[in-house]
Amino acid sequence: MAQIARKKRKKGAKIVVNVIIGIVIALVFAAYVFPIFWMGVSSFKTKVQIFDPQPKLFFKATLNNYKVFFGVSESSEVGAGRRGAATSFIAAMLRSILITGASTFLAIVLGTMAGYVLSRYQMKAKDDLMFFILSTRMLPPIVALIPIYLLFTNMGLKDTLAAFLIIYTNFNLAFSVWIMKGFFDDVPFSFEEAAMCDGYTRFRAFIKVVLPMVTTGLAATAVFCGILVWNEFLFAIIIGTRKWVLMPPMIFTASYGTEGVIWGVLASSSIIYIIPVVVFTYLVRKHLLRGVTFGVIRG
Amino acid sequence: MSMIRLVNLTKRFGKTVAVKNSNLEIEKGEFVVFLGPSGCGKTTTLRCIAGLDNPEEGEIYIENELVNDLPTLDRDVGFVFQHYALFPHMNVLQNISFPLRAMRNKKSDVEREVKKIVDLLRIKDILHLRPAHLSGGDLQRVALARALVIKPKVFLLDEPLSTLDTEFREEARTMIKRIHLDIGSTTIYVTHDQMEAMAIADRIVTMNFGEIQQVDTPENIYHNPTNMFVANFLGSPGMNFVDCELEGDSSLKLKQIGKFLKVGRTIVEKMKSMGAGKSFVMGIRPEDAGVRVKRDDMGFDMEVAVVEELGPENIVNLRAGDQIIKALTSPDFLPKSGDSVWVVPDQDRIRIFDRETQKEIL
Repeated sequence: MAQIARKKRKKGAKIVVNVIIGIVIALVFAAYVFPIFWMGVSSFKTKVQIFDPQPKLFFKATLNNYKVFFGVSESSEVGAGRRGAATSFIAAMLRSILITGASTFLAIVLGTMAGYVLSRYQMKAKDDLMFFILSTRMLPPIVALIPIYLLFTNMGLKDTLAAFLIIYTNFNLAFSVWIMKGFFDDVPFSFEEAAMCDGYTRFRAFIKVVLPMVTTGLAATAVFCGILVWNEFLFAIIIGTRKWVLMPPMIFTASYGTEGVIWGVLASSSIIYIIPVVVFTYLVRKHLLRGVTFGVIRG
Repeated sequence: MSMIRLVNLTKRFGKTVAVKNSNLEIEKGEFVVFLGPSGCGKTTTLRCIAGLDNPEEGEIYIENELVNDLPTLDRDVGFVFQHYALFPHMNVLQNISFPLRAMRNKKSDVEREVKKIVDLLRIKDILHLRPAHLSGGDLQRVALARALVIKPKVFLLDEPLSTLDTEFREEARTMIKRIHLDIGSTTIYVTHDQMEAMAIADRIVTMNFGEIQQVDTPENIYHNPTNMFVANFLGSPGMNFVDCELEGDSSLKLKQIGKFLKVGRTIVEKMKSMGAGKSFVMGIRPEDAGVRVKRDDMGFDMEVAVVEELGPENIVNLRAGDQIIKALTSPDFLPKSGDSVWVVPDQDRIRIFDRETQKEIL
């Protein structure tokens, strides 16, 4: 009897714990989601609605802020952005996609190759080399801002595609080398040895056997590197001044009118800017959640 | 013609010597087992033959061709790894055809070869599964199939049964031997299990501390071990050792037991020829210890310590001072602890070792 009672008490305690956990998760979730929700709602409001001291849950939505983004309509607010100029939103968006994609790709290719070598081969001062690679991320980027600006200006790289690729690939390389090395360390060397016994060269073994086993790592690195570049503002506004204006500075400058911040356009362009990241993360989510090697390596 | 020849093979890892000056010849079609305790260099030797490790010194020949500088993929070896190393992102069929696809064979050829090996190993109904969903026995069969599908010159197995449950182990052992006979491959098999080695080997290579101790047929290695290590490592339980010295012209003084044992002329003469003042060790296998209840002047008496009943036979642990002797007896021989029994060793099976060098002198 006492045992049954104890069991019941235990069960009751479990429910209480679960409820508490649920409430905490809900609160944290709300804290994260509310700003985005607010921004989304604001993007469908007129200026008057946005500044309404008693915001309504149901209101007459306007698509005007999105029309401004796509250049269909001009903002009713005076001096809204540099509209009509070469720096339209869509062009900036495409530039951001190009630079993010290319620099992430480069960082992953280089990081994968370096990570593999660091994981598999014996070399002198490997730990020092690893530390040196990591140390490139120890300074806050703003410290390097002025030297890089001067350097790139003198080299004629300012406002070019190459400048962004060099900077952003460099930003992400340390991260991608370290993460990929970690993933390669988890793949037992006997898989490559098995492939070599099967008649494959080291390189083909790497492509056919090792790489498919670290897709989780590739996906995780791609998401991290991609988001970092996508959201980068500081170098984007300093380096890309005319031809290579990216989205973050674009949103910033275009939503400043003579009458102050144009909140509606700021909200609509930010919402659109979030979409590619959400889509990409959604596409690779399967690889982020579980690795294909799960449960196979027995010992 | 020898299939594989090792000449003065030496492999070091930093300061530790994994393989020390090994010489070995393996004939075509032979089933050779490398046997020894862990860390004795048996796996390293195997990996050197496969080209996965490179020796510092010495030469490796496969079919009289020096292969030291030949990369693994050109050596034409099939290798089964201890943990199988099946590729988790491929299903069984893709795993097995993987070596064939390396050579960019025609699709019909690949299918034909795969079908042959699949039939041989009876794994037809698991071809679509991924390794994660296979049982230990199936994993092992797929690993064998992948290694054999290219018909390698040499078939190398690194402790392939060590991760299997005991019940499957004997079955798998028989299967490996059957496949070896079916396809007539030259097989090298690494294990630390002496019973496994005895059961399947044509010849056993016993190793310890990186050195080859003895190379011979299972029968010879069991009955005529060259030294005390081999004598003790083979057999379960291993050989009993008793320190002894010559006493008079026809008997041995067994030091720790404090008794005397009458021995034949050949043993006495051999011990004499080694010179005076030498100390020796007498070795006797448990099944040759010959335990009797009745007094026997050809033996000596000891006290029964523990009797372990195994079913088909009993292990009787005998004690005298610090010395323990294990004897195998029939299952109906059940003395009580503290009983006094007589040990009458089989004269032909007594082995004498030099205590200093541990080598057999007989």
